[in-house]
Amino acid sequence: MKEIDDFKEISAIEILDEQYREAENKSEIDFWTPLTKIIMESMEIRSKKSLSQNDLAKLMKTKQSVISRFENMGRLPNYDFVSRLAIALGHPLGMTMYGDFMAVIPGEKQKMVKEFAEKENLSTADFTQELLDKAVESITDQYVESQSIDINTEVVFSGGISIDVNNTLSSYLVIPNESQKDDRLTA
Amino acid sequence: MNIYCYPDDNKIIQLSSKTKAEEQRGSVYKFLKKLMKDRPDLWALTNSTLKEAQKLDDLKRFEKNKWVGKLKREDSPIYEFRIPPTKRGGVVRIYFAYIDSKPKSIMLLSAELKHKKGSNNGKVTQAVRRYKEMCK
Repeated sequence: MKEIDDFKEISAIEILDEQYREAENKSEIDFWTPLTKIIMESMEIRSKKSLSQNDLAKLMKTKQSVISRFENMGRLPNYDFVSRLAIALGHPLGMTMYGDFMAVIPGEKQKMVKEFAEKENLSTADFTQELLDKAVESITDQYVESQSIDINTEVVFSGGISIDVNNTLSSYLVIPNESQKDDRLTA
Repeated sequence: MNIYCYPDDNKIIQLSSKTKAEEQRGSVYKFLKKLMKDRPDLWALTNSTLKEAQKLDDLKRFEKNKWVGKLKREDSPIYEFRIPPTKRGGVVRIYFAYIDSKPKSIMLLSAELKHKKGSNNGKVTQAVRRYKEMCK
């Protein structure tokens, strides 16, 4: 058999990521992605708990066909269904408008995180948020460092006016919009 | 799992242009690109399915839920992803084979959007041909 290296390695995941980056219909993809993710998560938890569709249906006081339709994307679930599904699978539902900034602790690490949260007397959600806050805090320093070369340089606006940013990170990071520009320059 | 797409041209060729690079990415790439445009719902589900599969050591969970199955062929061990297993609006079928020389790796050989049961085995035949090419 040929070695994989004999082929030019084309990672399916890289292809999918690239297609998403270049998608002209990104909003349509974004519309469907959360649903596809909860289908995957639902099947993952169901599988870990060795629950059949029928078992899950019983927990939710519904029919197996309803679960099947959901997993096959045959119906768009409403809030009531999704929330009851999450609770039946042992987790409260999490929803956010900031989906692009949302993260989920991998399944195999969840037990450990939950135990740490209990030790800290925090809810798992609060502890997870704290973990995320700390991680973001730790990369903030790197971010500031990576921007430091430009911090002392001039920022030239489209009208030809330039200002010294004067080593003030906040001034550099928050570029004023058109209406704020004049106020800022005179200040 | 490592998931690869079978290239149209399996020789390593210098990538001189984007078009050529796209050509070399193979039919699964082109299929996914068209799917994204025509059926964003199924593209999103395929994306989530393959990313979930990538996280796993094996595809048993998918097999159990009938998202993955082995084709009944004696000549080649070809499997398929059925994404999702049953859907009136169509099912994405991605034919693949395990790569013997690389553990926990599969090669996506061909793909199609199937609307109903049919006797058109063109994509399966293509998958078998590519599998045999892979085994040479």
